[in-house]
Amino acid sequence: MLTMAQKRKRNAILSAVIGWILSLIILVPFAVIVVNSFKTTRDSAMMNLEWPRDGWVLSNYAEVLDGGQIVRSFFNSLLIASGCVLVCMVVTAMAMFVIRRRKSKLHRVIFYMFFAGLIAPVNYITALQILKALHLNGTYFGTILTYAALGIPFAAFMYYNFIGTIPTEIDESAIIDGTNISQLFFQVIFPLLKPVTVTVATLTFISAWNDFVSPLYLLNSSSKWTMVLMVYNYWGVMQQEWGKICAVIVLTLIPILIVYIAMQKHIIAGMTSGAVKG
Amino acid sequence: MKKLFALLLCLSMLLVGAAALAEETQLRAGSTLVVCASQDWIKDYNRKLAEDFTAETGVNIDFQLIPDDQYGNVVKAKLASGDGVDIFFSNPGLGLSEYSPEKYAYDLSGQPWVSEYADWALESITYDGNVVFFAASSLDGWGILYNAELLEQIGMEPATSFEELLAICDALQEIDVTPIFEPGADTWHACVWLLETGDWLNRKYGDMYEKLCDPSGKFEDYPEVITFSEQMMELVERGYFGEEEDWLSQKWNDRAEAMASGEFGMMVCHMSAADQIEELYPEAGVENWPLTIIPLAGNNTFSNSGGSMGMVLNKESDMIPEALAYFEFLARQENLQYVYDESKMPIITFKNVEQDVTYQYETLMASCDNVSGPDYTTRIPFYSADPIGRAYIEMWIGDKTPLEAVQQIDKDRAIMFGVVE
Amino acid sequence: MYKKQIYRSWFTMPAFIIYFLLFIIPVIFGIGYSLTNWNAMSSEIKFVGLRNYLEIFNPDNAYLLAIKNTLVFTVYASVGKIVVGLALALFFNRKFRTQNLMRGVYFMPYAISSLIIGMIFTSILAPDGILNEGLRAIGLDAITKSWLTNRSTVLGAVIAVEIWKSIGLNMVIFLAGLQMIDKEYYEAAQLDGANAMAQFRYITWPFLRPSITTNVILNIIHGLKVFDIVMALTNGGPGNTTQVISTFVFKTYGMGAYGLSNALSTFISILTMLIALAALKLIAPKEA
Repeated sequence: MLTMAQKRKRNAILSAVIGWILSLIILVPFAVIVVNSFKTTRDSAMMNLEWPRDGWVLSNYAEVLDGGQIVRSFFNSLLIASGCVLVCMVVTAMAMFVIRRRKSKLHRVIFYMFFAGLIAPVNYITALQILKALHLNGTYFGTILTYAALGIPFAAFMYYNFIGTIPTEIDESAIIDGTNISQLFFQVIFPLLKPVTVTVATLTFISAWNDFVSPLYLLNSSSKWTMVLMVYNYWGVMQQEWGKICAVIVLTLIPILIVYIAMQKHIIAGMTSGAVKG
Repeated sequence: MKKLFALLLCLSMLLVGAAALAEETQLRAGSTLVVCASQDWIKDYNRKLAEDFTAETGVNIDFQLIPDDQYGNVVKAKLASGDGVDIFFSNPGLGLSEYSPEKYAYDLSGQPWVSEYADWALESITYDGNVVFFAASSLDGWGILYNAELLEQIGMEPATSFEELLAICDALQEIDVTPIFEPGADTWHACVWLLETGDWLNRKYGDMYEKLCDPSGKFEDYPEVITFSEQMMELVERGYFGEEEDWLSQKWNDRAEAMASGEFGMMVCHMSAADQIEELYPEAGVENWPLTIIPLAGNNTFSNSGGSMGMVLNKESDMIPEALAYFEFLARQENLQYVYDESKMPIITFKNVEQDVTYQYETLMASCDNVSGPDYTTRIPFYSADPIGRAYIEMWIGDKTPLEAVQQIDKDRAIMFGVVE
Repeated sequence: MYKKQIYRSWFTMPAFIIYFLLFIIPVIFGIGYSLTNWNAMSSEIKFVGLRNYLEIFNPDNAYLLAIKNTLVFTVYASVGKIVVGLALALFFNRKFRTQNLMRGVYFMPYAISSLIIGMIFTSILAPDGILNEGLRAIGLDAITKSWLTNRSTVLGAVIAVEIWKSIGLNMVIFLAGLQMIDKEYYEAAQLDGANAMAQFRYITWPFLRPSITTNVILNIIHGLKVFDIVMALTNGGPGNTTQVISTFVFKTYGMGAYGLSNALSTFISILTMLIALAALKLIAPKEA
């Protein structure tokens, strides 16, 4: 008979083994893509995990990078996602600071309005009209603002909860020193919000980067296309040339995976903390 | 410091002078013409000519390729947002109507090469009385492409009637060949069957095209259309397409391999697409691939698209001189000849090219006794590939009866006319 | 009172303006336009009342099918995600090496664009794709199908891919919930002689309720809004078999029927809000 400790250890090892076997379900699709990105077009047509019969080639990558469209779309994605994150974080934190501290009826209403955005889907057609009226349609700026609007509900929710954990005494001591709200917020409070800002910024960035619907409606000039839209275009155009399509997919996934791996702990912590507390 | 300042001043004056000088020349070297197309429409020879043009004028050509089933939506959205489309492709004639031609089609009537158009092409390159298309393409249209070797095996000739077609398909099934290759994964293909009834019905009724130009005109009103659709359905019911889940995953781009493999007896294909099969599998020889009209419901003429996709110049483009120069360049005799020779198209829209018809063209025109006229896409608006194709796919998989499919087509056209019933 | 002087309202304005202009107003305008015949062909817009909505509920059209598909998809996908996510979470709720790494792996698909996942799976689920190849290799030839073109399997296939993408998310939220439960409770229960089932029912389940609520709400909202994955896997096909509301919104938009498109969009907004609120009230009446 095994002791409790030994039993636990055995269970732990068993869990690990089974866990990794099951994780193949997750990993195999990605393996397929990576392997096939190095196969010739003929070889990759089958999209399987076999060793490349015509040898490993880099030509797929060379061809899709040629012409610079992928690179340009990378910078577009970077610009739009970063811009969105910057705008969204700053304005939302500002707004939530006031709303959390003041608790007046008006502010409650505004908060529920933000919250509703988590549930309701956005209407792109009419949003496009508004952008046109402001002469912002098809511009980077207009697109960034729209993305920010999409990201505000979630950021609002997270900031609202977190600001609640900052004691009002901090505000009070700063006020006694004679600061106005801008100084109070940017010099004292915002730095304290770093943990949640990092989490929300990462999640918003990933969401903005992966967004397919928004650029589909909002961005028409292919020179402004994001990476995801570019991949979709390549897929439609290169239908059977899986080797090249895989190369494009890999290139699109690399930035997001880097962000994910670096920020993994924050992401998971963020999703769970907000979620579990309801 | 003073010396540096003087030097900078001179340099800037030089630059300004150079810029002014550059502006005086007609074409802005280093600028880019944006051409929107779907991936299949730009071939290697088009690209080569574009490169030659750039070498000569310094103006770059940027082919923006859009996936087939999104092409219409994306171009319309780009045009509406005023966003950098200089030239775009469109179905000729009234096929242009979905792109708001009054707003976006530049009038090319005064261009020097217009007089070189062949007579048969004239109708399709005009809209509302003005020449708006540059189309260096062939009379094109769809028919049934047969694998002659397989026909020989069963001892039959291409069908001239629906009953004959059934007989051929039955015989093919007996030798274990799937009679018809239908690329079900490409929804748009399902719309080309009906496309070939246009000329025949218009001749029969005299005013069908006129009626269909108005939302009150409906396909449902024509019993032949219903019969045609029912016969299309019968082909599937008899198992001529093969297993449903198989033909639904077949792609248009697989056609060459599929036909050459001998697994399929025939497919609905357009004239210029047949040559891809020959190119990839030359062993069988050109004459292995006869093309005839689609003999369903008594159809006996060849509906053609009078020159297929053509290029339209966006009125709102700010690269008009460059675009006109591009068209002029493409209209040069040697360039047209090059396109004609490279593409192996049967005939071309321009008179001044030496032409040599293909086998498919011969067999096709023979099967309709040389009676041919324009099809729906050139003469009525909103013969739109995706809604019509989808309606027929729904019919084939049993979600709609033939009548319901035709009614759906009418409904979708009504929506595009702007009428919600 | 001094609150008003310190926490000035204008501080909320930037967020409010952006959000109001680009989210609230479009939704309101959308409702307005859904009552008109706005389309790409005519330049004048007429009020037509509820005609567009009648179109949506007209059984001759495919919109009811899309609504049904959306609901079926949402329900099955949500249940699947929760069941699998919970099972994984319960299984992994113990310490072992490489735990964090494994958690990272399971969560990874959620960080990837749905569109790309859809594209990857069109090749995996193809008739000659690796799923069928794998089945053949272990002798299960008989159940190989063309998953994405066979009408009886296509919707299921889309749901399966969606579950694959999100199990990491559900699992992680459940894990966090589980880890809040003090081990002492379990030890006390074991000493009292309670078996695994009883432990689950009296200890685990009550503590899991907030996590379940969260996951249900997240899954439902996501399910009703689904777009990317359907576009990539089937584009609504074959025919209209896998159309969902958002793909129809896009399709009618592409056809130029803007009034109709807005009606569909408004309908799904209202539906989503009602369902989300109902789910919230049902599962967590106190917190709603």
